[in-house]
Amino acid sequence: MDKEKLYSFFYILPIILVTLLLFIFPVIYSLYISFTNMGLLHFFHYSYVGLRNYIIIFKYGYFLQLLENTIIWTVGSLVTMMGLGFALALILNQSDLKGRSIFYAILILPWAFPGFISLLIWQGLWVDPYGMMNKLILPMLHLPTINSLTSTTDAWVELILTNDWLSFPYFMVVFYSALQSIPRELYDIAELDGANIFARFMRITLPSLKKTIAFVFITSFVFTWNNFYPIYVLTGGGPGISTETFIVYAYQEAFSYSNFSLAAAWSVISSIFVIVLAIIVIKYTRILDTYF
Amino acid sequence: MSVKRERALSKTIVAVIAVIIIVIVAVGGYYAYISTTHHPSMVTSTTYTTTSTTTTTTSILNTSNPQALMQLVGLTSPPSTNVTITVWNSYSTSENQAFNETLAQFEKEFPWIHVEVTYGVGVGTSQFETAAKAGKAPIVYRDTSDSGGALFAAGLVLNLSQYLPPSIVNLYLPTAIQDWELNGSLYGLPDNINYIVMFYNKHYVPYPPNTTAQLIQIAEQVNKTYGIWGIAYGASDEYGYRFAAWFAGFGGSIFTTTSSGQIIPALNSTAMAEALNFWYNLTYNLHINYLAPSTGAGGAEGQLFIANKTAIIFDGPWDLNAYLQALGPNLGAAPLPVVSQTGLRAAPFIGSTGWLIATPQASGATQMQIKAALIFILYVTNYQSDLRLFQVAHDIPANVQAYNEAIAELNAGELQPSYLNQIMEGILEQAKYGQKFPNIPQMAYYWNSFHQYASEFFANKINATQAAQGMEQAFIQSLVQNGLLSEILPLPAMYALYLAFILAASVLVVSTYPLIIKLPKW
Repeated sequence: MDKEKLYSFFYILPIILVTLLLFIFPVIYSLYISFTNMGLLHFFHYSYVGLRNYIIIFKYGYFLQLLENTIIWTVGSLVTMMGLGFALALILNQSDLKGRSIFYAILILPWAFPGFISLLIWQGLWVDPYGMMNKLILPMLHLPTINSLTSTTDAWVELILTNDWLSFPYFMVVFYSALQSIPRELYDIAELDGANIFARFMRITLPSLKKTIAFVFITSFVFTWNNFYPIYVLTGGGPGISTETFIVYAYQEAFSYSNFSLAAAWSVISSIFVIVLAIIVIKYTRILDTYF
Repeated sequence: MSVKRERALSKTIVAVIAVIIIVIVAVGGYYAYISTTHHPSMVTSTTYTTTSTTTTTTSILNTSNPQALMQLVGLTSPPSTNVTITVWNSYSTSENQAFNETLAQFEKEFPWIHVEVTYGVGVGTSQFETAAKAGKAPIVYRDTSDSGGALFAAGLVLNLSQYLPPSIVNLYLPTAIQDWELNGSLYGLPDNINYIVMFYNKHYVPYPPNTTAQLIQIAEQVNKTYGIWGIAYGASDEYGYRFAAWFAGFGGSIFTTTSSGQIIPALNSTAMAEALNFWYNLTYNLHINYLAPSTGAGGAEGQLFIANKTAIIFDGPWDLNAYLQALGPNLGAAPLPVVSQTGLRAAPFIGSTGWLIATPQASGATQMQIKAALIFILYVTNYQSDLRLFQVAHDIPANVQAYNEAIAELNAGELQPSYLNQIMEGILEQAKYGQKFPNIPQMAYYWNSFHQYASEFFANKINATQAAQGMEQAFIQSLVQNGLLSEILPLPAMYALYLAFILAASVLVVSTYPLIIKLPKW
């Protein structure tokens, strides 16, 4: 390696160090402790136990139930969040919409509140029969009340609706920005050619947003898969472990049971799923074409 | 160009996954033998006792005298340099009023000890463990006796028996101090005893129910007459602390001892099924119990009680002030009732909160800091400090002298406001009908096991028998996973699983790679 190349390497040294320290080291350390018995009874002096933690997961660990829950949580949240965000972005993008700025400001409000505080408020809103959702909103809409303590379906509805409220502004803002970047002339020409609104949407809007949708999907998929707080605060994973995901379960193993090695093993398994699924989506959507 | 790079990137990522899996397999295989030979067994045992509200134990040590305290820890005079100790305090607001007075007094009497207090730390082991892992645990920590037991088993808190004379236990109520002993070692000093009682609103409840039959009758009457909940008990939300009282009332116990002396869970019993069904009946069939989503004065149960929307709740004296302020003379307290089906009284855990000292490995404390910490915990659990906690925050004293003084004040009707005397009588009477709070490390794995299956039961997913079976199975599995019960997994089965894992990992890599390379463009 010549001197010039070595010198240029020096410039990226800080980011390499930061990456090593904040990303690579925790990953390797988690992997390492997943092969040990580090826990309450082996706190300072722990030893290697081979695949014991992984075997425990597959033998005792509710693996399939947690996988199913994690998929319900991720897909259920993603589809509704993206759908809602996209629909609102389309509405905001209408050229004849009056008061756009006001609507925009109001709609991004949920994003402005600290997520944890919002979740605590939502926890109160969902209390059956005293919370506002069950006392006022749902009866007003002629919908049945929701009680996450007495029904698993209710618990999922509660979680996904709350997560939608917390997250749709992000999707709306990203999609709205992308919609704004589509040249207006394309729509004018299509209109002259006799394309109806559906054809314009399918032939112009959707293809133009392909990269944005793919990018948002991948990042949000990983984020939602690992999103911990809504479940932990609202249902605590209950009833039973009906709404518990990999990451919530790993947290409880670590901080309720003090079984750090088993928690690390759960995290490793969860990460492998995310990596594989992310690769498939990246490859399928060719999202990286934009950036390389 | 970009396709090439992307392909290279995909290959790299696949290679990373492959390496991770190969590492898992290789390292796992290498140490598989170790895992098969690693069979820890049970480490301790427990017994259950009931408690009494009276005691005549005489203390022989004077922990209120600064000089005597110093001598107790082997100091004849203050050290030449000041000593700083860090303290994590888990007191409530009202308890802190008393604690701050005690602290001011302490710093006056021990000017060479500087106390750095962190207020509002939650009880439970996780925060302490995180700090201990980094060697930054507080030198002194206040926690519950069961959490303390887990920390002691983990080697994170000091064995006080090595530092204090055996007669130190005479300073405290036997009920309280026994909660802080494990395998004959003392690991903490108690500053109170605690348990749940039945709080009721005298406006709706004419007399405290003595049996569950009366409880149902009164709750139905309240429901019918006033249109409010008879009881608010979030049985599905809790983790088994309060339910343990009902479980005992139906004749159950959390642990049992095998003929070989091994302690194993005993949740799968008729008593558990009947206790679960009892509360199910009150909730879903009779509609007199509100299945509250949260407990305590700040939770749904307490808020309904404060707002006069429920007549009866089960809570501890730590929330007494909130209910006193809201209900005033209408507040009543009494022991939990006798379960009519069994004739046994519902027996809550008689627990204790107190002070522990972290090991030097966990906190980095010096020997002089340990001595200062010992003086501190002896001081904050002495007669004056404990009595102050009773008078200000109504904590039930663990210190014998303070307890006797509290009883004397109560008998003389000296508590103010006057109706508080009757309430405290009810609270203290409950102590006669409690059960010892198990402080063995196994207890740490009871809570989630109970919660998981009790909440599924109350969500109508399983019946009571399945819930009892499920929680016991989960409890045993947790103990096995955490090395507190012998490995059940037979050796051939383990190797079969190991091979299955390798196979699954290989299939994952092999099937993913061509998919990634050959996927069509969108």
